[in-house]
Amino acid sequence: SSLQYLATRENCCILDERFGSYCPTTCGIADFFNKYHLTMDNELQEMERILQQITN
Amino acid sequence: EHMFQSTCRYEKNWPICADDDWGTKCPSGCRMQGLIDETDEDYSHRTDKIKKLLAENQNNYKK
Repeated sequence: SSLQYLATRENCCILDERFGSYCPTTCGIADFFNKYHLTMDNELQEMERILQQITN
Repeated sequence: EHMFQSTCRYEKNWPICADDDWGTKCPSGCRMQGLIDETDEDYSHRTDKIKKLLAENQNNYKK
C-alpha cells in the first residue's frame, strides 16, 4: 500500500536486503492493539452510558 | 491423534517469560489475528446497537 514504511540504511540500522522486506513485530501489533482497544472500549462505554440515560 | 497431542504438550513446555522478553519474543500472528478479529466483531456489534438505539429514540422524539 501507499502507507508502507520502507526500510532504508537511514531509518533501519539492522537492514539486510537478503532477509526480504521488513514488517512490524507482533509485539508492536499487540502494543498498538492494546492502545486502540483501551481508547475504543472507553469511548463505546461512554456512548452506551449516555444512550442509557437518554432511553430512561 | 493422541501422539500429536502429546508432542504438542511437550513442545509447549517453555519457561515463563520475563518482562525483558517483550520485543524479542512476540505472540503468534495467528493469535493476534484472532484477538483482532474478535475485538472487531465485538465493536461492530456495539456500534450497531448504538446506531439502532439512536435511530429508535430519534423516531420516538419526533412523534
